[in-house]
Amino acid sequence: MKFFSTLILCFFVTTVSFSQVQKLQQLSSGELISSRIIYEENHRDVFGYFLLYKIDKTSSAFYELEYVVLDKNINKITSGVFNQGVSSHLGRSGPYVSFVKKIDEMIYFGMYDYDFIGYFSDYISQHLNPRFRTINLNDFSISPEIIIKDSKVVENENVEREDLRRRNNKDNQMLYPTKNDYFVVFGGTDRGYRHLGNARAQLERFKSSERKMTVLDKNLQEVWSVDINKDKEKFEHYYFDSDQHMLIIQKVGVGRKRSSLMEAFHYDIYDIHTGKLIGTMTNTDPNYTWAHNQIYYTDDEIVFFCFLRPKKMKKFNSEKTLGYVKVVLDKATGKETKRDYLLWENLQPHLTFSNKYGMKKRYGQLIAQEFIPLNNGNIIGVFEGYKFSKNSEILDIFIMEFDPNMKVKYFNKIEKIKTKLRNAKFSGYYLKQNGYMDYYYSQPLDDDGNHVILFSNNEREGSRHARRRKPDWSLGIVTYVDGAYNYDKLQLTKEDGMVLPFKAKNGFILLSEFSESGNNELRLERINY
Amino acid sequence: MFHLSKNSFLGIVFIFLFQLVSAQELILIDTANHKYRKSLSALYKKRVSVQENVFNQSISDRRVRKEVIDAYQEIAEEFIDGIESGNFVYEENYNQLFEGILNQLASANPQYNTIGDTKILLSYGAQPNAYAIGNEIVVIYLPLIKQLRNEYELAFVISHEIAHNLLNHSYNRLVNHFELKHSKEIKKQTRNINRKRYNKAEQARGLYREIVYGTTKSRREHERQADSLGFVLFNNAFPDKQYEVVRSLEFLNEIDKETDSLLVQDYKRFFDSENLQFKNEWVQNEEISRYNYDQTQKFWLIDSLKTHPDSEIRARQVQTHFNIEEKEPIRASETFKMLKEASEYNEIPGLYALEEYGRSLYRTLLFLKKEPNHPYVKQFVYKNLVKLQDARNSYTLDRYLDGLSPRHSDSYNTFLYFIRNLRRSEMNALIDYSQTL
Repeated sequence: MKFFSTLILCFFVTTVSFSQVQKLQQLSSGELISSRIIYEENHRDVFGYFLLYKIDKTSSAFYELEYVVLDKNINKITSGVFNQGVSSHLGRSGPYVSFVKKIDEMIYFGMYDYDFIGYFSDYISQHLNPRFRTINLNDFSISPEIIIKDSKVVENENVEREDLRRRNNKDNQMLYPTKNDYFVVFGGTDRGYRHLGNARAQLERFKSSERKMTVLDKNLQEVWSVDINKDKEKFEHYYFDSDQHMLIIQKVGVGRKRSSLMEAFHYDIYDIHTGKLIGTMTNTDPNYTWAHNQIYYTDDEIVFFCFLRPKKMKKFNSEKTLGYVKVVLDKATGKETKRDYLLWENLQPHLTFSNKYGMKKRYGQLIAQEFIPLNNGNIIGVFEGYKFSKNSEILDIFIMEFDPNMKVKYFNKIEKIKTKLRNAKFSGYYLKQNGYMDYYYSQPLDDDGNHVILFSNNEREGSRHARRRKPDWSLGIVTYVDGAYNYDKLQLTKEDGMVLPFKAKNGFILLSEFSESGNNELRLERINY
Repeated sequence: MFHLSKNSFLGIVFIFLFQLVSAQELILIDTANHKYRKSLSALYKKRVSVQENVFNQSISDRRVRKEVIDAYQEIAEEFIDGIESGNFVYEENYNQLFEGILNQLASANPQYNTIGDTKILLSYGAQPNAYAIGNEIVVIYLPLIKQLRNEYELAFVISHEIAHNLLNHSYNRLVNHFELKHSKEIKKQTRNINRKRYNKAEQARGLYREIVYGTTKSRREHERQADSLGFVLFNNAFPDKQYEVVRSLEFLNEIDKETDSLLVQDYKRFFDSENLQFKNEWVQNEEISRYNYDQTQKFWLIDSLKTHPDSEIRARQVQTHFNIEEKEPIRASETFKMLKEASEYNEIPGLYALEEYGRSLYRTLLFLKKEPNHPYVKQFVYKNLVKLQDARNSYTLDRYLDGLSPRHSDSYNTFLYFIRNLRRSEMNALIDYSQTL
């Protein structure tokens, strides 16, 4: 089941229902254009929600927008309106939210001009006139539009139509929020995107010409910066991830050395407070080639989980992986301290495969959805089965627990009714990345090291047509509490409606229930553990 | 014929009631009185049918007439559902109190000959409230009786609601609603706004606000009229108790305010047991206090949205208009006190019957704080916890337990946090323990 990628809250801009002038109410109320979860500074829990509505078009290039900030219990903290100019790309674009970040009493939200035509990828789209604003949660004021040029903050008090022209905003820099109190900016190039041409080539040309990476503090003042792409070196640099102390930057080769982002295995690890380069993570394995899968942190370690593929295999192919490798780096030194392999054959006797690529006869393969670190050093691995064929299939969920050496300590297969995708020969990686699979997300339940894992399942049996026409969705809820696993299920398809689940504060789930009779409700429910 | 003086009548009713029920005896409401529901439903349907005929004869515009009748039937169906699901309850002591007040109002105001036909219904409810729906029906919520301070405050509430009925406010509002919907002028202005290319929403908002403010202004005017006529009705029946009207209007400001709260030691007293040690962290949270909520008015001017004028202003208006002299507060009769107290414990099964299990449990705990061994109330700790656990198992707890909100008191938010954050095993242990209370 593909859940909505955005959180659709039934949160009306106006508060009074007044049926005799419904039309007027519709005209005066907003259209939801974006909704985001606001995380706590450390990303360990939900702080609240940010909703953005388009209220009015005030002239050919300007919109009146309304923002609403909700707390984690869905109470309104504040709301307000502002005017937003929107540049025109290929004729049609609109305002969209690139990120929402909270630091102390400030909410920062980035905006860009969404390309309705779909010429640019989502990633490139975010570089179209990037700008942002702040909302102060003490005095509830909203800042004027802010742009970053030459890695410095410029306040755009009165944006004119002329300012929206591409030539005037092509040097605006993106602001990347980290999972701490900093932002990252890449700059030093005058090569903005062109409107026409190969979009990927444009990105490469633009990113590889960047000369400087700057880290800004919560006041958007420079904390430190480093020169990049110096001495004839040419890489695309991307903000990759961060925690409270680390900043990880991915470097992707260009030209002949070019690879996809997941294949490019070169990461620079910085101390985010000082800018000191702590270490570099590259593929040093003599036997296998790595492809990025997941990263997480413990107090002292950075843990990379990577796909393993044969050394000679140049291009990543999720059907030709040999398993996974866990690489542990010491945060203080950046040095590798431990490496453990999880080859498909290591899953025996729980699973038996017919080849080294994890092919299971008359079934298909597995792909890891997530590795969840536990307080005792063990790791929960959530895998999902799939079949790569002319009509790709989505299969079962597998919950496994590994010890720190990646030996299986617990195994359980949760059977689902398989979903067949007609005339869709999709790889496991493609199915996972594009939301075709049923795994939803995992989340801590509390601060005691307990977790919940959620996935969906269309339980309707019968033909493909019957399953699609009259689905019977349920939400699978797996809890890991005090070392024990519990399996629960919540019916999502109702007789006259549907329940949509959304992420909520730790230990809870937000359920949006719609019914044909119009009795819609939004419920913040406790995960039952 | 023997005539009682106006003042002594109510007094005699109270004395009679007092003799019926001794102080130790519990006044319990029968929540499953099907005979009462049946007769009430029949009476209401009969009155609805009469009113439909009035609408048919009095509304000339065909479209407005149809929509008014359709809407009226929908409202009536909902009300009948309420009757059949047991929202309205009958208890002899309460009924005699209502009848006593009503008879006095009817005999003192013979110019309004429909007052005597008024049916006063006692309703379970979560709020201290009362309303008039037309059809000579007035509804009094049980929590209102718990909050009012004497029988004369209740008599004024009833007078105010009867005034709404006499002035046909609920019917007029329905008709105005649909007349506005079909207003040619509004339609024209809406069409013009819709045709505009830019600033469409701004203009729509302006007109929309104007209409909403107009409607709420008219509702505030209705309240003033009901205060005024209500006072006249009351004054005719209880001429030397005029100042109770002013006092009751002043009291409306405070009626929602919580007068008690649950402290950590209260939770410990209720829930600390050998099998489950109470953890202080269960009631320690910053879920609301850590946020700063914006109180500034945004889209709406709150004062213009109020359907009721501020009660302080209402009190002054009535006092000035009718030149009412300040007097010492009147003490409630023993009978009223008894019914007031009964309302406090009857509110708990009432909330339970309304499936407001969270509120019912909260009220139970507050009640047990004062009377830990109350034989009737104690069982509702267990009953409500079981219902809340069932709801949690089916992921529908939010329907029966409020969410944390800055609108609630700190005490209530802490209670909500406590119940919402318990683990299943902890909840089960509480349920087991509550059986032994």
